[in-house]
Amino acid sequence: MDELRTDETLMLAYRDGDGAAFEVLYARHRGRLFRYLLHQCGQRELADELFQEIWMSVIRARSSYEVSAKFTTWLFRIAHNRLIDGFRARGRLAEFEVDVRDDEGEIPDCPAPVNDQPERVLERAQLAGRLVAAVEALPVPQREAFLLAAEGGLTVDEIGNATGTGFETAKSRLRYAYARLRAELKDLGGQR
Amino acid sequence: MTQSKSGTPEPSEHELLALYHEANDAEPGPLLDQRILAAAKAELLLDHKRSQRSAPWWKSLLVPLTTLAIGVLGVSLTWHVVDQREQELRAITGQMDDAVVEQAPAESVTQPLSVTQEKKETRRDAKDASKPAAPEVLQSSPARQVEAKGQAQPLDSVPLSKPAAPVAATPAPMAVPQSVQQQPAQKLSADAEAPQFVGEIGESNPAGKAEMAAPDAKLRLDDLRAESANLQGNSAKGASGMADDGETPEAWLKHIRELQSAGRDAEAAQSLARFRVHYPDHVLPADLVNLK
Repeated sequence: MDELRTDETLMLAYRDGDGAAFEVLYARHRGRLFRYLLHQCGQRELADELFQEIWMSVIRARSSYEVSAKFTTWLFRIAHNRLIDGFRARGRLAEFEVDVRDDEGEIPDCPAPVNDQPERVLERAQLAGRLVAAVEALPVPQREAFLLAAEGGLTVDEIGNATGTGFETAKSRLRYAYARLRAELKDLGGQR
Repeated sequence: MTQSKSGTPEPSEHELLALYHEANDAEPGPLLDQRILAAAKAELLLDHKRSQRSAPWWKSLLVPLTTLAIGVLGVSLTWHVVDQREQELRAITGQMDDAVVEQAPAESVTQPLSVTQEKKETRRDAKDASKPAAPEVLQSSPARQVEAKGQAQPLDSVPLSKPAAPVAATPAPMAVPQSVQQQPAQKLSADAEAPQFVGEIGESNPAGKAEMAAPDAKLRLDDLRAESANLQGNSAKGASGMADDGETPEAWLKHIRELQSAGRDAEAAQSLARFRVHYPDHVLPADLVNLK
């Protein structure tokens, strides 16, 4: 029964004292939130610490929770704030604040090697591994936009809301992120 | 699959996402899961305890006890009023009876039946009549006495001064209803005087007038202060009026309180909504929780 309820309904139920609702909600989002954090900070220990802090914040904020946006947007907004705090604490806030327009020129166009042969293309698993590495190599704002779309399932507008940037900035960051990943994985195009 | 500028096929966003999910199976450890789920349950238990502590056992009896007290008070007051009225009526009728007996002892001897009938009638009338109507009943009673006497005796045998005597001889019963009748009138005149008095303060006393005007002036001054503060804030924080973005949560909440105290509730609510988007996990202070 709980499985059919929306995230927002579950959170409201938890606010009103339903402990089981929180378990369902947690099960739904634990993996995606953890991966978002892991790829954003790059260290498992730090990701663990942030993950716990974020869920504790969710628990504490239950009394004032109101459905004003999707639960995922709300959750990832908390995660975004915690990440910024973490980056600030480590003196790496500048990485978060660099906008795409400052560090990017044109969106890279990545021609695939002409002589790529299917047998020379890496195994799909290896390719996926490269993709994850490419994601982690993205500039922080672009990586965040990509992870919010990939893990949080957020739309461009929701990414803008979760990160406190406008729609255009979120859209631009996401576009640059995909362009870079395509550039890194040009062999995926040749594989098909 | 999309085409790059050079014409080579490129993975689409969808394909990239699918590949990303294939490689991504990192999850939090079971220990972390346990810790978080236990914390969630513990917080609910704490909530429960807090709510129990905040409502002591005697509070559940507050409503029934108050209702009972009001009921008892109401009944005793009603009893008291009814009892007082009965006593008054008894006193009035008793005095009237005495007066009638004093004025016409001879008739009462010769015609005991008519006098006792008269007494009964007077009592019945007095009991039936409500308080404001009482004087009427009392005023008419001497005339009826005469009528009753007239029925029993020939008209010429009744002395002319006699009918007037009971009226003159019963000042006490008349005095009570008169005072009762006078009460509303006095009250009305007092009411009529009150506005005049207030008017006098305003007109003849400039200090009083100034006092009456002071709250208005103070409100206007507060409005002006709030407006100027807002203008200063807006100019300092940019033309968009998004004063609160980029501020610390505490400074932002202070700004919301300022808006609220300036009576700009709608703006305060809007700012609070933005605050909640910005800091979703910030536990709001009690004074701002109900601001909508």
